Amino acid sequence: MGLLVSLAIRNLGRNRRRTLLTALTVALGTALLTMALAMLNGIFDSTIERGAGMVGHVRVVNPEYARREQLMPLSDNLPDPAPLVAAIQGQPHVLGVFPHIAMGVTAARDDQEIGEIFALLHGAPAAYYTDVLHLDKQLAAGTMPSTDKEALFGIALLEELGAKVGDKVVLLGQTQDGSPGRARLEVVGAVDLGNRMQNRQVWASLAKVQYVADLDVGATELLVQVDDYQEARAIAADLRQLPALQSLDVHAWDERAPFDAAGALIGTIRGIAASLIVFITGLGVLNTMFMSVLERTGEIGVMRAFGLRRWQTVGLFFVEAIAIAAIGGLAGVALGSPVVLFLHRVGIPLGEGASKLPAALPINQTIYPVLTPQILLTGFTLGLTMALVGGLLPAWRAAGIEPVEAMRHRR
Amino acid sequence: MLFLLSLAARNLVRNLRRTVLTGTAVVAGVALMIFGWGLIDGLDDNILRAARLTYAGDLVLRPDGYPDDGLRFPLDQAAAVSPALTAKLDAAGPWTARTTFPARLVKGVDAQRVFVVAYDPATETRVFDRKSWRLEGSWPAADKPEIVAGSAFARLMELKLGDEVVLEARTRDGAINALNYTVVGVVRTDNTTMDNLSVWMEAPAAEQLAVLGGVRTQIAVLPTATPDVAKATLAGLGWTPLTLPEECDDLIAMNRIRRKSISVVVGMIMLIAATGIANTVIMAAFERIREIGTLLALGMPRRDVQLLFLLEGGVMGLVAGVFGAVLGSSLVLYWQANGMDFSSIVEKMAANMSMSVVVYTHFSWAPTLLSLLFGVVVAVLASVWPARYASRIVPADAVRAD
Amino acid sequence: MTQLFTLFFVFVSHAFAITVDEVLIHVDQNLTYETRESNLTMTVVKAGRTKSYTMHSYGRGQDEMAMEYLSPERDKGTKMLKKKDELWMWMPDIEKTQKISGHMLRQGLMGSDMSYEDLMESSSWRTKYTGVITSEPMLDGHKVWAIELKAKDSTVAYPKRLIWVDQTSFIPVKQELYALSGMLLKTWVMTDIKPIEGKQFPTKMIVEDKVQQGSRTEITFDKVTFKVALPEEVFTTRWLER
Repeated sequence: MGLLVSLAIRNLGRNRRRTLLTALTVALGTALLTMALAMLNGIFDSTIERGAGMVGHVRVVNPEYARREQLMPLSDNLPDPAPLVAAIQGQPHVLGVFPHIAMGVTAARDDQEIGEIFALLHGAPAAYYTDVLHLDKQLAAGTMPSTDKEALFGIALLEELGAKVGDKVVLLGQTQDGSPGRARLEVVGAVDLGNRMQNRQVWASLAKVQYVADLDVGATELLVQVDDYQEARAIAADLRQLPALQSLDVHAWDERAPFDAAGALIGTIRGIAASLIVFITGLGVLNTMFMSVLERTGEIGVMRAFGLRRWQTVGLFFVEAIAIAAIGGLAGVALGSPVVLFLHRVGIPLGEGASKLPAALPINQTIYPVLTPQILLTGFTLGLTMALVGGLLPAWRAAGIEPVEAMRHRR
Repeated sequence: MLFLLSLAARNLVRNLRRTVLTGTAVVAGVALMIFGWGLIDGLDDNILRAARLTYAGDLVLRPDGYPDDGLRFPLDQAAAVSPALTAKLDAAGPWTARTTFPARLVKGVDAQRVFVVAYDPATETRVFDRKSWRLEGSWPAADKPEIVAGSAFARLMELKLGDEVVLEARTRDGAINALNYTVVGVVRTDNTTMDNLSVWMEAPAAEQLAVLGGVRTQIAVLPTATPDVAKATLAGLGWTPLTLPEECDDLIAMNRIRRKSISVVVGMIMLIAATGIANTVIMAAFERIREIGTLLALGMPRRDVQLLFLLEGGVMGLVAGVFGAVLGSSLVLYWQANGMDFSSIVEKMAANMSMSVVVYTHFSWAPTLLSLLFGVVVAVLASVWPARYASRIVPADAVRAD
Repeated sequence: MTQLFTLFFVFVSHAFAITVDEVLIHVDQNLTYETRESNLTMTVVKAGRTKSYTMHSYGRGQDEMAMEYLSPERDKGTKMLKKKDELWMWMPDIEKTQKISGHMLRQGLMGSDMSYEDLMESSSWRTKYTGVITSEPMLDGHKVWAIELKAKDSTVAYPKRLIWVDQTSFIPVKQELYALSGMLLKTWVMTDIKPIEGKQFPTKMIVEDKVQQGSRTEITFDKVTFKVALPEEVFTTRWLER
């Protein structure tokens, strides 16, 4: 065995160009694979992460509210969220618990008639708007609100109202009893989320909307932010055990629409995309290895003529292949990782202007490729596998040919 | 030149295995590129699809001044379809007119605002084939007080086939009217607004409820000419036409980002493919050092040797590229017609499926030919280095080399 | 609401048969100089939930009405002004007068079964409907005229009304409001008729939605005064902001 190894190494050194070329292929392929997969991750993850944050990693609501959630029924609310918040706050993995209210309102600029223009009004703690929705990063103009009398408005709504930052807007909604809930808010910031639907919203303080909705201290939803949103289901299951939440509907983001369906779809698409990338990379490596071995048919014949057994011949190539694959794979990973990490810090800008968030599946304007150990492992393993397959197959066949024939195959 | 070309071709055939090996990389690369672009172009299509198949056709007309935000359907701004307009529409292609208006649906103690979509049973299916809709039950019979409810709406109100409900609406003049209806069907169109907020009935029934006087709120056309041309002919008759992309410009803008993201991924794939192609070509070339030496020794000019290699790269790239293009295009065309149906996968995960998930690709010549070109160019360029290297070899060394 | 604030009652002798027009005149008729002030309570029952409001209002003729909410605490201070076809709302918490328009007018006042539109029906029944007396039955121990009213044109909100007018007080003690198809939409019942300053006045009204089950609004007048001295500018937007 030691002979094989030393022979293998010497072979590699002997034809440096070929070795280098092959190793380079493996390296390049692996590097690109690493970057591509990281990019995929970046695209999908940021999309999903943003969406999960928006609907709440874990959501706690009145079961009736869950059933009729299209209507956002104020009557099916959580009248006293404080003890619930307290109960959830200290739980493992929980980063924040935010009471939230959403209600439909009609809006008008000061002194205009009211009744024709509609919007969706949100009420939540300020921290929710910055830490979860990142609205501070999507301001087209103005600043974040600091008092109950101030709010953020979507730009499509402002356009329809003929209002701008600094103006006052009156909102009129209906409480659960049908009586008018109203507020007069100053537009301190204009938000652009990328599409008209999303830009017809108003984000105000929790207290203000509780007043408008006549919910006293209540809320319609509790949105729980966790440290690892991909573990939301497990965390939700744990939270469901809490005595305080017994009669309530507690579900993770990927258990609710639209992610329950979209999640599977995205997973599938991501899987397919990754497979395609892996396939094409593998093909390149395979081809190269195949070729480099094929080229040496004559050499194999010579070795066989010298008495090397078939398995030893193949074994020789095996070692060579491993060596190349290992070097190439490591080089590739070493090459690809810093690029990915750099891009992760800097981001790949895509958008024109502000970022755009479709209805429930938001996509960032910049992609932040995400490197995971899985990707590194995949790249390395792939390179290795392909190199082996590419190297062993022809070697085996070549080794089976009569030495004389083989030698005659020289080019 | 011709001699070199035929030599190149024969070389390729002579060592078929090598050719096939390098060719595979090109085939796969080109096919994948074409597929990737087909997917990207299909994205816009997918966005437009829902609109086209449920309310807009390829050209949608609304009365001048009628709001197009999809949230309001004021009956007082509806308009009649004049004979002049009718004639122009008939000339443009299959068309159908609908009237959408607000109403209140009451079932027992529950009442909910809905939009009634009144369609013309004679012409509706000329524009909307309903193939992608899922209907449970049946469409209303003529002259019967029957309605079909949007799937999500039915779920919300817990409507079942056979339920009796009351629809209360304002007539066009403002009087209140209310009639009893039976829910005979539940339909899922994959248009969120319609599935969540609408009920469907035949135009004569709507006439009875809202005393429309024959007015309509939207016309959908499948023009035989291109939509832009058709749009021009239909303008100025009291109705505002919009092509499908114009109607959905909001959604398309939204999609631009997604397109870019996917383009980046496809770009990476192209890069990987290029690397694969280049490597195999280079390896193949270097493998033939002795052959080169022989040719040089036989007196072939160095430049011709170079050219030979480039031609081999080019021919191989072209042939393999065409194979790849055919493969890629077939996939794209197939999935353009049938769509990749992810529904089964999705349905396993979600109990309450509110959307069908079929992804369509879109074929166009530009990306196809470009991808082919890309494949050929890479193959040729990849042959450059070995070609130059080869041409600088000293024949004696070459023959000696292994 | 016209019925509420615009009734003027005349004692008429029934020696001869009366025409619908005459009945309606009396029902409709309003002393243009008549002013009134009242305190009332409105209770809204919907989907099993009940909510009560108390209000204080001034009225003049059929066209003008100014109302202020006294309770509950949340709505206290809210004022509404109706002038002919226009409606304004003053919201104290936001210190804003806002004109109400569009489809909001068709919604129920404070979620009740009485829409702003019902409130704003400022033209009389006489101009909107033609009618015929169908019978003269007894209703709750009183003799009434049963009158069928059909709308004169297609723009009238309720194409058909059946009203039962008390022959003594000329109060439409019961009304049924019908849709174009003939389906019963709402009923208005006026009861607890009390004499106030020599006039008969219904101190209780119940409006019931007949299409959606379980939806009902009740209005009780706690105090009514006629011929009052109205505060200055009461029927102007300035009063709202006072």
